[in-house]
Amino acid sequence: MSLSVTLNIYSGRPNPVWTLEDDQAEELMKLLSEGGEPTNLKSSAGLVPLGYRGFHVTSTAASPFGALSLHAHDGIIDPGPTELNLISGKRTVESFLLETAGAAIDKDVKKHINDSLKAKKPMELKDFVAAAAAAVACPLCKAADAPIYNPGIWNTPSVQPFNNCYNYANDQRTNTFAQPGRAHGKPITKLSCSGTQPSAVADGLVPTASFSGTLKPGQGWYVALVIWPNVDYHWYRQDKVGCWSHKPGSTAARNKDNSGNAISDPRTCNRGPYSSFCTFMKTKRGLVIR
Amino acid sequence: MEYEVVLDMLSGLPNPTWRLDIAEVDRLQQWLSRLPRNLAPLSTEPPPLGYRGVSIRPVGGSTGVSQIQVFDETVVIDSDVFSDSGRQLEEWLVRTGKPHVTEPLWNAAIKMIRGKVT
Repeated sequence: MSLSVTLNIYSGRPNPVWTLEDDQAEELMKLLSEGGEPTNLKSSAGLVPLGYRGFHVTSTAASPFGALSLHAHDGIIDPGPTELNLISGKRTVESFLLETAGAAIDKDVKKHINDSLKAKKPMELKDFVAAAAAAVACPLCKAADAPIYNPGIWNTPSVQPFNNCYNYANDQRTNTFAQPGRAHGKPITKLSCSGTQPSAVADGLVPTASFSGTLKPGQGWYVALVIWPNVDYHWYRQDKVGCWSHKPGSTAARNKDNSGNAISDPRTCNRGPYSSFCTFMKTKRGLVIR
Repeated sequence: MEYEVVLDMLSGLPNPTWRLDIAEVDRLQQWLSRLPRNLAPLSTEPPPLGYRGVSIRPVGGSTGVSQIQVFDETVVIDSDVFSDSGRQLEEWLVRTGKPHVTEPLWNAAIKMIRGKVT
């Protein structure tokens, strides 16, 4: 009958896939026909970046069940975009699918999923919509020269380790792990706003109260300076799309904050230990940093 | 064989690095020989900003190992995954850096290891 099951759990490794025996496929169909009330609730699978994210069951049109593509997660059965979701509080479909995995998963993975099955609750639709909306709501970008978000040019072995947040905010790949003020003989004096901002000013950056003013071609784009008091500084930049992105040290450039959300305003995003927001600044093409 | 330790936690400034002394290398090799394999999926990814773990690189010579990464009870030696129960190896590695990093930075790293990194 060839019902194929994929366990969505890994990030770097391929997800485990196995095929149901005929009697298992029949049992699954029975559970699906018995279990569940129509619901507007959604599984949180699309919002969970790591760990158990549910099962995906598929079959082809040639199968006795016809073409099938359903997801089971958080006690929610999602049969596809044209049908209502079903909810089964006992999570019998997920538990059953887990038992069919056999040797496709090891005991530690099985324990992880069993723990997840006991803990997770489905999301209310309004919460799901709010979370999804929060992930994509970007302010208008008023800077004509704002860079396009294109992390691929930064996240390569010859660029990523040698360029930091200051390089990224200024959109300059100097391969020097650039430091504010170093090119102009005014190094950072203290890891505070007052000890760091003057160094950026020496490089030609200009403090500004907000990122709402229009910047015409040649006038640059907006960046933001934040401080982990006495430890480090960090920069964000506003991209053409309106949301902000950053490159934490030698790690990859990205457009998500420490909570995994899009960054609509660096004053309010999750900045981890960079607790002090200093200022917005304007930068532009042609400034010299090193 | 010498090992360089990188404390991966900064963004603007370069990450602090230091070399283990001979006694510390012996201790490291003891740690590594005792680590149990970890077959469970990695449950925690380091946050973009803040403490992201410790990496160790052999300097000169050949150990057959190119990189060791330690974060949140998980040790990845090249592509093999091991368990660091209680983050003991991770904290020990950070402690070897005390003479080499600023006090606020070192305190922040220890604090983040002892609390759950979010």
